Amino acid sequence: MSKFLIRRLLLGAMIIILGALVTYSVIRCLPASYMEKMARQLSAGSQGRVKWQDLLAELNHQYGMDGSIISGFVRWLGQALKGNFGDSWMYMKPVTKVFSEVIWWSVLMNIITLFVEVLISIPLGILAARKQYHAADYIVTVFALACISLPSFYIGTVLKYVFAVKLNVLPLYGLWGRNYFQVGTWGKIGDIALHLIMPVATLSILSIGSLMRYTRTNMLEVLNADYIRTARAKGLSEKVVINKHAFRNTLIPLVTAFSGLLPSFFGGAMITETIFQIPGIGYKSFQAMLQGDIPFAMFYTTFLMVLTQASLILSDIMYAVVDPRVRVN
Amino acid sequence: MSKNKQEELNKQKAPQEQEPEQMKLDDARRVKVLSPGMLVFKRFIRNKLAVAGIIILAVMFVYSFLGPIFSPYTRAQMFFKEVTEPGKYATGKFNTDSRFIGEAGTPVQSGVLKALGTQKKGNKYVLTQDQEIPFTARNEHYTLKVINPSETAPACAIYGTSHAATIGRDGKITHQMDNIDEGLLAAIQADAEAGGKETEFDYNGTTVSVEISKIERKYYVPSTESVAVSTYNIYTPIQGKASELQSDTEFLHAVSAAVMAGETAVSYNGTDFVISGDVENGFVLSYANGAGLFNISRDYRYGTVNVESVDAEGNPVTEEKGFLETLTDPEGFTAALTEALNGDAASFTFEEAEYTIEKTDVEIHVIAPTGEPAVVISNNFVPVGSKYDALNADKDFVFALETAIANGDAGFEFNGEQFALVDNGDDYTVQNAAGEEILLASDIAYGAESKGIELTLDFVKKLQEAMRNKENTFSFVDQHGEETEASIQIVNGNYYVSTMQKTSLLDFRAAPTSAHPLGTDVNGMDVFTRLMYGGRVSLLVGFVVIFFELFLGVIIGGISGYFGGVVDTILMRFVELFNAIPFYPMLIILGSVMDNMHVGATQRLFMTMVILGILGWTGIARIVRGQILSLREQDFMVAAEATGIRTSRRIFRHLIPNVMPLLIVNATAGLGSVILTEATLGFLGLGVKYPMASWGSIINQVNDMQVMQTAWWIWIPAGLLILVTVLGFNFVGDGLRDAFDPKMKR
Repeated sequence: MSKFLIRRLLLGAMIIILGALVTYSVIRCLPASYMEKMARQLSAGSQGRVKWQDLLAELNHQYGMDGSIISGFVRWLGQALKGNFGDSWMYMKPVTKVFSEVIWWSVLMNIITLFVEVLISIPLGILAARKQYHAADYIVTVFALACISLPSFYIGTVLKYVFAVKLNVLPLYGLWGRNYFQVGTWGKIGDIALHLIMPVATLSILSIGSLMRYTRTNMLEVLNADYIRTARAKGLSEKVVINKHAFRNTLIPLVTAFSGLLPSFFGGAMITETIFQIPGIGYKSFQAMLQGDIPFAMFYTTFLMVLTQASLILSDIMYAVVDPRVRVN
Repeated sequence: MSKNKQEELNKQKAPQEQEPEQMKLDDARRVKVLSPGMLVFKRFIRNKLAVAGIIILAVMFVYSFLGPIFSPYTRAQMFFKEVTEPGKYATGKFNTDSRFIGEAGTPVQSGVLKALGTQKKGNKYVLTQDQEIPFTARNEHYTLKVINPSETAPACAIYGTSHAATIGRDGKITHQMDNIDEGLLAAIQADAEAGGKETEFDYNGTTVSVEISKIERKYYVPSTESVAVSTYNIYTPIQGKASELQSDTEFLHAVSAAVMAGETAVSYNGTDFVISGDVENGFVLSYANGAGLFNISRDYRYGTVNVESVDAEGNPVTEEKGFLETLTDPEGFTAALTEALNGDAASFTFEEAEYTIEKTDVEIHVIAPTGEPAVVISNNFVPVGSKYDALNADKDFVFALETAIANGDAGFEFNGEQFALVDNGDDYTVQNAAGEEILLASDIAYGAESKGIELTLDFVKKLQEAMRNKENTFSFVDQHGEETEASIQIVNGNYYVSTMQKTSLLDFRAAPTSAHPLGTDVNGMDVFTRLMYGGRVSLLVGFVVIFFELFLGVIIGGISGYFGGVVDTILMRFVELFNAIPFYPMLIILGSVMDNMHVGATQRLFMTMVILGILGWTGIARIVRGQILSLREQDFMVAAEATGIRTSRRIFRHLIPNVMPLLIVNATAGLGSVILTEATLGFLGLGVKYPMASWGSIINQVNDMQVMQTAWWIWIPAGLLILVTVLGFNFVGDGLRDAFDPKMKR
């Protein structure tokens, strides 16, 4: 086990470094418009005494943008390994500070989404499996497929259109209303909750489909298994058969599905956050990437790669934990 | 009754029932043998959702790929609507400032104003007739003579003094007027020798003024010719025949035909015109009474030679190059042609090539030996205008006119021609000897608001009438001969005239109508048609990307699975690396890289396809590898290996067909997700760009709050199309999965 873990961790680290190198190379193709902007500003500040081209060269040198891609990457990697990801060009703050300010909004949103998702999709998935080829099954299947087929930006916009523009019952975007600082603690929580309804609904609709199908497929497999027939033959009530015997076995593959959620849990929902302008990690990093904010973009992509590798390793371990029959390696 | 019928029924039933009974249960005829493909197909079409998916996709394909053929509109056609709204037409003003009409560069205006105080209408400074005011402007001496002493409309004539001679201290003449009279020069020299201090002396009744400085003496004599006239009046020529005729094609046709036929006179609508001049110097068309009307010049419009060149977008550019430019000696050609035309020849030879001349009523065509028209000669008309047009800028004419007005005369003579002056109370009309009205003199200034507006005489008259009668509206005949209503607004003494004008506005965000079933978008394009072209791009991207992914995935997955070992390990690490790169962040970064590099629309579409393919092939590679790994160990592969079939055949004939079903299922479902990804990119503004469209980039317009709130037809249909299409792919994918593998429940 530990041998496997060490090997897996080493491999993960290697993949992360190589992946970061690829990302870095691509991102360096962006003309450093930030540098140019800053150089022009500084030049204007000096009443044009210093040419902005000279300043640009100096700035490029300071930010390590003048060397080759490889040397720049090595420099970045060295700092990153020490935990120093530099200052975000766009937000003018250390990247990690921006990150710690916004990450929890994303996580909060994802936790709520996870609850909603599980509460809706697992019962529906089980229902569909039990009533296979009945009307309920068809409805659930079509619903699940429709959820998968919907573009996230479209659900978000339609929700906004219906609830914020037409019915005017929910706030259009943002995380805080204008009275946020006037109301008490409960008022604040209520305000945020109100603002989170649509983003959470969007994310839930997006993820319900796949989880529902996943549950249904696994449930069907389990229901056809011999031990279920045995359980029925023993004369157990349908409730016990489903909840105790079938459902628990369904959980095995589901657990791995959940460990795959790790990246999206902390990585934020870029498009949904952007549509609703939720100041989470997805929205902030989208803005930063559009602006060519290299430190922030590098941090975010690396962070995502770490999460992905972690989730892969976690799912391997979880397999072994949940199902003792599975041997690691 | 029942018994007989029952028997009959039994008889009918009997043969059908008997037949299967004769067969055994495992009779070969009972078993319908279906090919595996047929089996899959049968299972597939039994699935209602899958059939629904197929129908959806068929409709989408017809809509996207055949729709544009039948659509009356093109991809990026913009629509405009005509709106009639009040627009500024002209401005009128009671003129209270003097106009100065004189030779160009007469530096008198400020001097005159100084001499008269401030020369404004209503000024209490009253001048008596023939009062002379001497004044100096820029070292030149002038005399101002008041023509019209009335308080309301004083008109002045300005006379200059001529610099007759300058004589230096040494008695030498340093400057002398060209036509100075000998006696005057002698008098000046005598005065200079005397060295008196008087600033003027008299010579034969002319007062000569002297300017004395330390180094020289300057002598000035009064000029008998006025240099400028100052007046409040504005003159409007009363005829516009030249410009009217210029837009009359029938008239032009008649003149052209006459010019081509070499005639010297032409009659049109009862008016006689005279043509003079020749081919080389151009023709002049005049009225029979001698008033010039048009200059006609022959315009060589060359036959064109096409040069194919390509612009940055790769579209061919057709550059027109004149026939003459292709010749080495164009002057020689022109000379030969002119000679032929003057000699009325039917053909001529130039550089050993025979050119034919063909004359039509209006044009002359010169045909090259190849049979192609080389040169077309047609007529260009430039109006000369009436001779009266020039009169209102002629200071002498104005002087004569103003003097007549001041004296209350009924007419005046100018350049030997008699003019009658009609007093209309507020203004005056000038008639020529023939009794035609030629000029309107009034103190109301006017001007058109924009270049395209030509103010008609009728407008000027009606405007002046309305201004004097303090009316707010009036109607007039405009330059196109249409009766037009105008309204007047007075701001700070300016009379702004506005008329209802038709303007063409971009018909953007228009609600659905029968012409535009889904309205128009923010660029004024038909949404229904845009969606067709958007569908083309969206579906095309889906298919190209999936084929690209399949290509990469099958090759790399296949090699990895078949060979295993080190190759497998290396390739799989490679796959993991690609898998680790975050998908959307990478797309966004690459999208903004392309934005920064200003990649063209078509190139961008290809780049997007390649990027989506490169970032997406790993899934297929894994599936292929896994499948091949398990197939490799199966008995039929061992058998294949044992028979000694070569490797490539083993892979492509035995392994790949077995992977095919899984690939088809995955590719179908993958198509949906690629379309979704592309749409998302389009929505974020990082996908295909104008003039191309994709469903995602059409929804992109919803980022404008106004579109979201007021124009649902722009973004709702595009989203529904994406949803329905992806749903269709998912239905079909699911159906295929079930059909290929009945054991695996959906």
